[in-house]
Amino acid sequence: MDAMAAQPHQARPRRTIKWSRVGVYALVLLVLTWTLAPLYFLVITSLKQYVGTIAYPLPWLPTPFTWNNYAIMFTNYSPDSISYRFLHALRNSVIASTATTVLNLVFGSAAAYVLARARMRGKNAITMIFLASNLLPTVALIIPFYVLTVTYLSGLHLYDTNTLMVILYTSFSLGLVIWIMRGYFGSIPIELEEAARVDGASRLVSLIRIILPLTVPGLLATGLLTFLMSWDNFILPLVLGPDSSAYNLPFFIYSLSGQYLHLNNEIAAGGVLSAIPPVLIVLFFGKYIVSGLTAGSVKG
Amino acid sequence: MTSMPVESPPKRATLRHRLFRTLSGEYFWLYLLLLPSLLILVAVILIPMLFAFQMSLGNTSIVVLGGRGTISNQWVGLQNYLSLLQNPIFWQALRETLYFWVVSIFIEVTVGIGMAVLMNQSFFGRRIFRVIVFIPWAIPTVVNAMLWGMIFDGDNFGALNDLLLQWHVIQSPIVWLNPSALFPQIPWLSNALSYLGSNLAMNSIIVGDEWKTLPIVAILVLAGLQTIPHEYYEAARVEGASAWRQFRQITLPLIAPVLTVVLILRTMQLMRAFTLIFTLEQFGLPVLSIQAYQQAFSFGSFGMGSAVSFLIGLIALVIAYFYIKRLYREEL
Repeated sequence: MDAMAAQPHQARPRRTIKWSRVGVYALVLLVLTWTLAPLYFLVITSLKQYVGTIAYPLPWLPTPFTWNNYAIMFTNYSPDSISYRFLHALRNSVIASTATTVLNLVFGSAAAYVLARARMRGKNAITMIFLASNLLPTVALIIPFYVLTVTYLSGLHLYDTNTLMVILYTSFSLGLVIWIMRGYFGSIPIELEEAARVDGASRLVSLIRIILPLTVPGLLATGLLTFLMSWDNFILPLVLGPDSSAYNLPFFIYSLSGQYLHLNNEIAAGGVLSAIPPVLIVLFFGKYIVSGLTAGSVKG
Repeated sequence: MTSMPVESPPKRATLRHRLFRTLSGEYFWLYLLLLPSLLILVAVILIPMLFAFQMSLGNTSIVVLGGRGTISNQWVGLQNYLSLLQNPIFWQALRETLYFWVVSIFIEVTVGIGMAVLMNQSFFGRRIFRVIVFIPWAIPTVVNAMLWGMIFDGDNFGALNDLLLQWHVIQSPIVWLNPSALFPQIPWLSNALSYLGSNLAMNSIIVGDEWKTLPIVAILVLAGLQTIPHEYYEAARVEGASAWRQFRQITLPLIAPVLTVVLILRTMQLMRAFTLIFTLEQFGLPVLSIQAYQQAFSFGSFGMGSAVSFLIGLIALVIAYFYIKRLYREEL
């Protein structure tokens, strides 16, 4: 499916066109305001000096203007400075989200292939358990994670590490990856694979050479979804990685709000910066994400 | 299908035979591919869940010294669950969670479908419009929380108060994120709403949450709308059906499958909603997930916290069951 594609619209009787046109444009304007006004407010706040955020009436333009809120995120690097925390959070977010995505795609699509192709008893049950594990709330597992990490597994020194974050993020999105990719593998005719095998390719070669290229849209969709999910995670660093070696951007922004001085302009700048990657993903790959999310609903 | 391993063995086959067939089969490495995922499932989901259940049956507390923790776990049986069920705070949390869920779902069904239908009309700039509408969904939850925290700020420099004061809608700033009762002038209504878990902060939180989640609901419903053939509407128009009738009898039944799936998924998310409420309210709106966190990490009562989170997990699994059953009805 393709939500972004243009599509010819049914003709309407001429008489009613005018009023329904006006109504449609009024609603479009309303939705645009609802969508964009908060974003506009976030961006102008990030470009204001502090006095501009506590004035009444609030200036609805970025006055008094400054780039400083963004500049402090990258300059004056020293331990415990804001740029130190921001850059560490950025690094951790990038490392953890990327590693999670890669692991999920490798493990998840391998498992999905087996669950789509092999004739094996209980494969539907296994798929269902994976899917259910994906639906389990993080907050239901965070307490045992914490306790296991700091007590029985404390010898592994996992607390406050990116490794732990990656393991946990991976387990949370693996079920979704398996579910979506299983659908993609299942939609590829088995004859294609068999033809390759008749020509002498081994099963592994046929998987890598023939099947994987056909599932690129699915890999892209699940990869991006996984990336967005781990980029957004907050509760895991809150409980298991509150130090600069593991916290991510959401936790960094939250920590800004907990400071003695609650500086809206700095929070807004941090927010804009951490929203840029996911917004770019949605702008450029929106249709893949929709196709991934609808894989379980529209396609069946 | 002939080249696939035949997994149903002859009736007499012993376990050893079966094991041998599996391990020596041409497709052994297929199972190897499944192994990492199964390991993750067992080690990171199943074992922690069982462990949570075990903790919930005890008076669990933890002492962490120098990065090394010791756990003390006194068996108390179902005590934690029983005292939860007798605790009015738990029932209030449950009602608040339900209120959050019911109202959000109602908004998503009405406004979400409305937005989808709007995006399906033809108008100037529709492609750009669809892309713009999608953006809030991409904003990280914590950023969304901070943003709505600034909008709902209780001082007169909160964006909403600022606008309402300037337009003379209100005389003094409203503390939108304060869990205060609604309609304090009408006691019975105010009490009833508080009982049901509705207060000012809760409703503000719902608005902020919908800003981020309405787009994805609308866009998924739009995906469903686009699969409806135009001929249906043309035929209905020839028959003289009104627009409302067309919507009710063609659109709604045909988007029902995608809508069900979207709503079940949203239900799961709403039941687990934590980030938005915690970052804006801390423990001010004690929905179930907040309560689990608070019991464990601020009261140090890991047994009780595990009991709450195990109940959340149980509720989630029941919903998941319906979701999965629904998905499989389509597929198998």
